[in-house]
Amino acid sequence: MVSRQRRLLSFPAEDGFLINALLVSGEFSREKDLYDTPIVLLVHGVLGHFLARGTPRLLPNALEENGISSFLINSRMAFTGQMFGSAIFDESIMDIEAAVDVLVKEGFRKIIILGWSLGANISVYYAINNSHPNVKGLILEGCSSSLPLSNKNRLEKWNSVPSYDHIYDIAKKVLRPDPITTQNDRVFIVYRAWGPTFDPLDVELFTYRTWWFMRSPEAYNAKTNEIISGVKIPVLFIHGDEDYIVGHEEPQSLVKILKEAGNQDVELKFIPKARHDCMENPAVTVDTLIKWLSKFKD
Amino acid sequence: MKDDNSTKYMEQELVSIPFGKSKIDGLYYNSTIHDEDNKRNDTVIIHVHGFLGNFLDGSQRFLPPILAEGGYSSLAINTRMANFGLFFGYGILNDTIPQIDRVVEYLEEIGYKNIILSGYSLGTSIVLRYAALRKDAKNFPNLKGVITLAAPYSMPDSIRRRWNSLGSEPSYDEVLQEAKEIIKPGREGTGHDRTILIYKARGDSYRPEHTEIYTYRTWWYLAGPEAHTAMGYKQIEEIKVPILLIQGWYDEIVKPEETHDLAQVAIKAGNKDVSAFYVNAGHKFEDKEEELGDIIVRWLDRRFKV
Repeated sequence: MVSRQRRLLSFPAEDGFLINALLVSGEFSREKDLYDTPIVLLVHGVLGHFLARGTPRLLPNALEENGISSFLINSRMAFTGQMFGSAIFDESIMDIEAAVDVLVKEGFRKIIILGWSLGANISVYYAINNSHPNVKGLILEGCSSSLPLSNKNRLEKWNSVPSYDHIYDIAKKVLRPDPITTQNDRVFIVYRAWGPTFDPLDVELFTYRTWWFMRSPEAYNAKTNEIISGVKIPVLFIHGDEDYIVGHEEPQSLVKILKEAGNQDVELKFIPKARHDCMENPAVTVDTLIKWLSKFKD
Repeated sequence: MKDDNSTKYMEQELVSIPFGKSKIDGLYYNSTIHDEDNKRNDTVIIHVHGFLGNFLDGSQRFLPPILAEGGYSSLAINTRMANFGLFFGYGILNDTIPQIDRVVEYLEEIGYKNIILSGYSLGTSIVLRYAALRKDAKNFPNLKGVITLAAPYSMPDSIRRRWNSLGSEPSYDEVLQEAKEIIKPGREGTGHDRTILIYKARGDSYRPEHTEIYTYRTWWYLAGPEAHTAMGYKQIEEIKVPILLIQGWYDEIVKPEETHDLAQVAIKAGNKDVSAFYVNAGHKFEDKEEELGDIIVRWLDRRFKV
């Protein structure tokens, strides 16, 4: 008998970044059953972490009730990473690699990566790079087609201060001679980034370097629409029907790109009565996930 | 699957304590070291994080396993001031008091009789404020002690002195002038608050690690000249339970004499059980984790050992 587990683990990424993770699994009669059942590796969104409200907080328990285990990680993008310089988008796939390695070494054979919002874009970048053979599928929740374009559109919509183009100009100066190797970096605030006011709840905070690799016109790996054609494993998109942060057309365009690239195992499900967080409608979300995950059970 | 944080001395559990419409998250370390009669030690330590911290980092992470080996359970919590509470306007020190009330109640419900509050850096302001407000032993009989790690004598003074010595941009006085406008009576909740960056607040460069982030309101209640709740010396003189103060001798954020001065205030105010220790470390107690833990376990043993 394998007993129910709620365990906190810590392990390093390739570059030494310490990842905290939470394993959530139910009872299994045999160890083999635990490892043969799909496990969902969950990657949080912007400023998120494994206890953040919404999907990270609610989904693991709901999956466990249906016999599916979860492994939630706090990547380098978690918490205040993007505000103090550690959250470099391109490097974050090392955190997924390390988490996958932990699961593979343990014996899990069917790993499904679920990325929520920013986590979805990271998961795609992981999947086209060093995806381990035991990673069998992707679930992309609230996935933007391009983080840079999404940021540009949002900042223009709210007439942000500074503007997207102004940030880009300053970033090029601050990050001289080269954003990859530079030792120069600064924190900056974008007012009216999430809404029409100067209120703290409408601001966005980055360093120029974290913005550069996640949101700038040169954040090539965060332009999911330009790289997703390289994903060859099954993909399920789930998207809140009332999502006002990422529009319907974004996952629809990504589905089209994948299919045109030859990946026919792609589905998109709009979750009614849910906004950017599909777990606002847990019944439909969990039902959708369980149905899709069932194809990996045999 | 091996869990590096689990040892034979403890069981670890993530807890979410219901608090109004929200929850208080914490990591509970249940010591499995019992006495000869297999009785659990009924002393527990609540750990409160520092600036931008949470229960996964710093002393909140490394101390509980050491204390568990000594027979003491711990609960490391995230308050409203954890992570980015200071950036988005809701990290107000006094608002953490009801949260800690709820955590204390939770620990009482699961059987603990001796509750010790431990804070690190910013967290010391929270625990000193809490213990001062809850000094009435009749109403709060289970609050038995306070531990401070790297405690500023006064958070506002400490921040002002540091910013002035580093030449922060903007300066302390410039932030104060703006904050006064924002905090004017009647302006609560009117959308006047703003997030602000202070460059060269923690070091002499513009780099992110030397930058601090607040809103004018969170700054006012933590660092403003009228932030009396964050002035440790004004709180510690009210506290009559045993106090243990520990600081790194080479602390680059809080001056070593601040711990000495806080101890003096407590003693002068009539507290008969005040101890202060220095360890050969900086603000984060790097490489002195075991030594720090040993000091705390010995202090607890003398007062609360089963």
